[in-house]
Amino acid sequence: MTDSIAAGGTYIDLGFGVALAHSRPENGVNETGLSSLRVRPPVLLNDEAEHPIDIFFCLAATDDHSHIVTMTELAGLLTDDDRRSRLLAATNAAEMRAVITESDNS
Amino acid sequence: MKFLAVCSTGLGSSFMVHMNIEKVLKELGVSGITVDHADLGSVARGDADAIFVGRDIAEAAEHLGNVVVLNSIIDLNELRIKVRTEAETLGVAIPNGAAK
Repeated sequence: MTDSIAAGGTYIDLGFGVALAHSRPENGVNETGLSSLRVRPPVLLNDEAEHPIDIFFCLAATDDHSHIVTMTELAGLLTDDDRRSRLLAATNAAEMRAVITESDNS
Repeated sequence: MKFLAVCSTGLGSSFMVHMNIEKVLKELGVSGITVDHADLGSVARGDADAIFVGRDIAEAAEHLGNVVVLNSIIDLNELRIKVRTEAETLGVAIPNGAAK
């Protein structure tokens, strides 16, 4: 994954300081899953000033379908201005988890 | 009529954009546009009426025809404006056009 970012993969920058790093199943994915990493201060992808990242989500998908529910919920979370703001404002893991596990009513 | 979301792997951001385009089309009450997502390598010119990409692959996708570049993958307001513009340009009726 770090290789693909170095190879110009700043495409993982979704905007608003959120990055979604992900890999193809054939690149060594063992199990479908999602993890998150909060960094403070923000880091710059490839040291590029236009890509400051506060939160990395890391998606692993074993095939083209198994992550659909995960992605649907993640998209719901990140496109909701209110939830995304609260996620970025969270100061500890518990607060982040609370926002992430809220039910998506949109 | 087809809108296609494209990213490098065809798994992550393109999928998110795909779902968000559907959400926006539903808001606008637009029907008759199919939405899908794919990886950059498997898309050819003419595969869709509009191809939505993140800014980082804008250059790599230039040859695909009608390419719409998104500054942010998760900015629903930006997507609302751009999807609507594309639909209007393509002559698609927008039943809920009065809504924002």
